[in-house]
Amino acid sequence: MVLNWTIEVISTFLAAIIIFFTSILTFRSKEISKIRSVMYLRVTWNLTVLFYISEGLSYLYLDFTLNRICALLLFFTILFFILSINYITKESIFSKSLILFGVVSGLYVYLLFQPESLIISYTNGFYTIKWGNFFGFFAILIQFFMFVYAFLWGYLTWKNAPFLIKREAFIFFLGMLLASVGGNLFYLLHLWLYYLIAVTNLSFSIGVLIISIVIIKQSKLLYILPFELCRISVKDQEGNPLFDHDWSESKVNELVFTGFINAIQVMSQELIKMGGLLDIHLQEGVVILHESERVCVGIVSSKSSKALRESLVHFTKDFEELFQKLLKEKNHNMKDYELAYTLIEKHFANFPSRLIRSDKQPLILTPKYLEIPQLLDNKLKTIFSNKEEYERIKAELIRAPLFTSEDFLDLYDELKDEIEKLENQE
Amino acid sequence: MSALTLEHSSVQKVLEIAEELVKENKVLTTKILYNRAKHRLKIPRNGLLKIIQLLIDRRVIVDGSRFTRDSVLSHDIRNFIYSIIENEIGIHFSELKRKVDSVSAISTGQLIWHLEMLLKFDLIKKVKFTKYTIFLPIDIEDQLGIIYFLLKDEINLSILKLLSEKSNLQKSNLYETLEEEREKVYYHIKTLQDYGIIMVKADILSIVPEIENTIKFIFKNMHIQLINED
Repeated sequence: MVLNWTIEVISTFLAAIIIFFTSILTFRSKEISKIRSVMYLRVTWNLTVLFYISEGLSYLYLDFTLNRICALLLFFTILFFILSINYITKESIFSKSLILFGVVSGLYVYLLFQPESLIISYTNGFYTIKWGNFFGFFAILIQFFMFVYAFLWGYLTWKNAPFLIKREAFIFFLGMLLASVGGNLFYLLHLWLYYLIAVTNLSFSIGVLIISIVIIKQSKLLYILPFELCRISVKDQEGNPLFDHDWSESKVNELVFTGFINAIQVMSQELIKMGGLLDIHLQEGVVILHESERVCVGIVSSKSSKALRESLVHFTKDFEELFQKLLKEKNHNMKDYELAYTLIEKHFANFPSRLIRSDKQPLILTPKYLEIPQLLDNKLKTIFSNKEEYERIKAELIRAPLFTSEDFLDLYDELKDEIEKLENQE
Repeated sequence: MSALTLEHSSVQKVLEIAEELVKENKVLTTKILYNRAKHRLKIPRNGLLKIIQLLIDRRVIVDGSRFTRDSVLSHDIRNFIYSIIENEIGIHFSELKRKVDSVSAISTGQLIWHLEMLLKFDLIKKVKFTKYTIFLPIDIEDQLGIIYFLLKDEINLSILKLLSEKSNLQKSNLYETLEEEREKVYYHIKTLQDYGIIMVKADILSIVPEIENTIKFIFKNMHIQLINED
């Protein structure tokens, strides 16, 4: 039997090898292999490999059965790709567009098994199997779903990426363009220029490889769209703050957030019995609270998330273990809990920071690294005896308009009598 | 691989470059810091970005953009102080401190700092009245603000309420109606008189006609119902 070796067959097998290699890469990467959304993506890549192998074999043997299997695998590949992106962006595999996809793909599968859906054609000196009539149209239509999903995912990730990972997000978008726009464009063009089918296969597979490598290198890209993590705060059972960390500016008012943490401590025992976790939905975002035996940890985020809740539970557990001795001693000194940053790196490493919005945004070094005139410094130190408060005010002073410090000292003097009266009352 | 800390030599070197930029009076931005550190330290891009991220995460480098009228209110406590001044027109400094303390205890210095920032950006204004400093929303006239302040006192409020409801009240009998000490009531009448809110003619008290509507407006704002009102 003479095998039908064509450029299409070779490029299809080559694409299968590239995507198989990509799948192994994502499996072997310690950083991302256990992320659920990556698992969905890996299933998609594996289905793509099977699709390309069956497609290549069907052309090689000019076999309709193998080609029908390949067409079915295309449907499953696109389905899993949509589910992956739904999960990445919403932590849920369902979306309204899935219904539309179900209708279109239902017709696609029906037409696949109609007698004239597959045609052996002779183009440019090569034999190939073409997807004819309506079936061909629906094949393009379901691939269009993949194109739209991929393009939007890539574009929105790039657009919303914090500037520190903007470059990676751009490469990710380019990979997505190559896989979606490139793949689809050349697929359409190959109907007139047969050789372009090789470019289609390679463009798609190289695009997938780029996307996966960028995700391995910068897993934060997966968490740009689902929610915006704002801050975490740890308090002991008496309400003393022990540790704080910010990822972005929170829309939830500081006083409201602290109020919730304090309120929750009143009902701590009941909450622990319920598993210790509580989501409070506010107009400005979500406060997720986790109460354990010795601490109450609160997170502010734009949306609730299963991944966040899991990270919060693990963080709390490790925090209690790491600072067991200090917590037993009822030590409230925040400086002694600074090592908790290592736990942030361990449990929240995938969530991007948005504290600085652009690389051109003016920055200042925190007050302990800055010098202000000695006279002013001495005066401020007498007014603000608490060191942390003094540094916070100093940080504001640097950002305030000219002469604010002088005006502040004048106002302080002006209110002297009322201050004394207040102090006497206290 | 050991975790990156602020004590790490490369982090310290980047920090030194940041300090150097500040001393040169240059605007410190991530881009400028990155470029100079990259050029001088030859640290790979990812490593350098990790260091900058660490400095941002640990709040060694913070947002340095100048305050604007909008951003000045993004501070939660300052915003809270502003909302008190807006809602409790005529509040004076000590009362304001008590109100703020009931939600979040801050030092007197910090309260004055926030007030200064609100004054600086023309969000509020202050008026000195006797020994008190009154803080007002920027669009409230000083005189109106002082009337609001005076009406926070219960005796002043009762006097003006009575005068709004009944005319021809006798000064000498008012303390009996109010069930207060005579000297106290006389003192309050004098204050209101001195400030041109009420007048006394042959022992008969009345609200200065030009102020009458203002007082009614304030009562309405304070949700105080007058007997002769519909």
